[in-house]
Amino acid sequence: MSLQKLWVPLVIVLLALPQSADAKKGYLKEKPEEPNLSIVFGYIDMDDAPTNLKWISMKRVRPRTAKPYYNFWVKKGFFYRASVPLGSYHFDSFGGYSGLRNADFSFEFPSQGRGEMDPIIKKQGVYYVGSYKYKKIKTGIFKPNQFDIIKVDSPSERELLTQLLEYAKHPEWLGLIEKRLKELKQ
Amino acid sequence: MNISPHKIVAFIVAASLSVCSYVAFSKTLKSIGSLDEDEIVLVGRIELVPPLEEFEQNLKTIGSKRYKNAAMFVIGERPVDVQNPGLRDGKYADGVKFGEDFYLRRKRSDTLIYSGSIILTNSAMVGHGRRASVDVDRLILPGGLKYEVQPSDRAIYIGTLRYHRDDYNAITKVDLLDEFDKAKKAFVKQHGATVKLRRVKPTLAK
Repeated sequence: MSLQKLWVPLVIVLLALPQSADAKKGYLKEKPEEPNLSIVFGYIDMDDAPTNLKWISMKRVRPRTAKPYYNFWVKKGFFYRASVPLGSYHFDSFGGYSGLRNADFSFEFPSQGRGEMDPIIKKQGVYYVGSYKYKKIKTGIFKPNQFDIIKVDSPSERELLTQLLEYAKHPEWLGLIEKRLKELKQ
Repeated sequence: MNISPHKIVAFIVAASLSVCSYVAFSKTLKSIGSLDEDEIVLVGRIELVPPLEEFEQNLKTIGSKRYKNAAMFVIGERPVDVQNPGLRDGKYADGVKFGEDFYLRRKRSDTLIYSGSIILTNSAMVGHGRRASVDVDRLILPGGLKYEVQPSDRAIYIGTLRYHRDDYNAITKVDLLDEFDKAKKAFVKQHGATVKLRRVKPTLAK
């Protein structure tokens, strides 16, 4: 299985997300503002990371746009958002805050090439980008730290969809999730 | 010449910045008379398909705006790891604008190796006060071409490198175009006919 490689700067601060799409649009409680909007979700286990997962950012690469960034709702490694239009997307970066170290951490995905998580949304639906675990790679004392996220089996798509049901208050989003759950049962 | 999407791009921000700041556009030849005896001029062009759009480069730090619609073209007597350039590699990098002929001065060498080009896509301060740092991101255009230089050369034409990219900025194809006649005409118009421009076909660098 291919691994998604990450890098982290020596001096790490919380990445400001410029030109991001309105976070409220990713809310599952509100009516979709236009047709053909999708839900994207996934999970990262950050137990071995210096911080927990506080944010994750996805960038729309096609069609190209001046405001390409999409933020997610995050809860204990589980991330999701609604109102994602049709297009091709690239997970850009993620991070969090460590109270122990009193530092913000930002991890960036490689900016070139399609990564394992990157969804291409051709029709409206619920898109699971996978469950992953953060893993540190030993590089030696004087080399910059390197990291992978490796794909894991748990939590499964079904488990995460079940969690997602708790947040989906609007019937349109609810319907999409239930439809996907039915597909998984078949 | 494809780059694996999963290739590690670990690098130290400070080192990367040093290389970026070291790269100058001033090494571009302004007049043929200023060319030193131990120098030659490289004539060529670099293109990106589809071209960079305005919002693809977020260049906010001092001096970074000169890299708008430009690449750091890395060529010299030895190969450079463009994924992880060293502090001493800046002398092999020149800023060149996409879609425009470039005239780069280089110290004469029997062979010149084109290692690739670097596009600065993000250079912005993040944080405040003592916690501020610079967030940098780049795209790499792969190289790996070798040009043989003859002792009599004063100006060599190295071709047009046309990079094709997909939606995820992976380089899918590289065309090496011979536009010598057009380039020579422009060269003579700008620098006169006193120096002969010779076409050099590259080979793959090992």
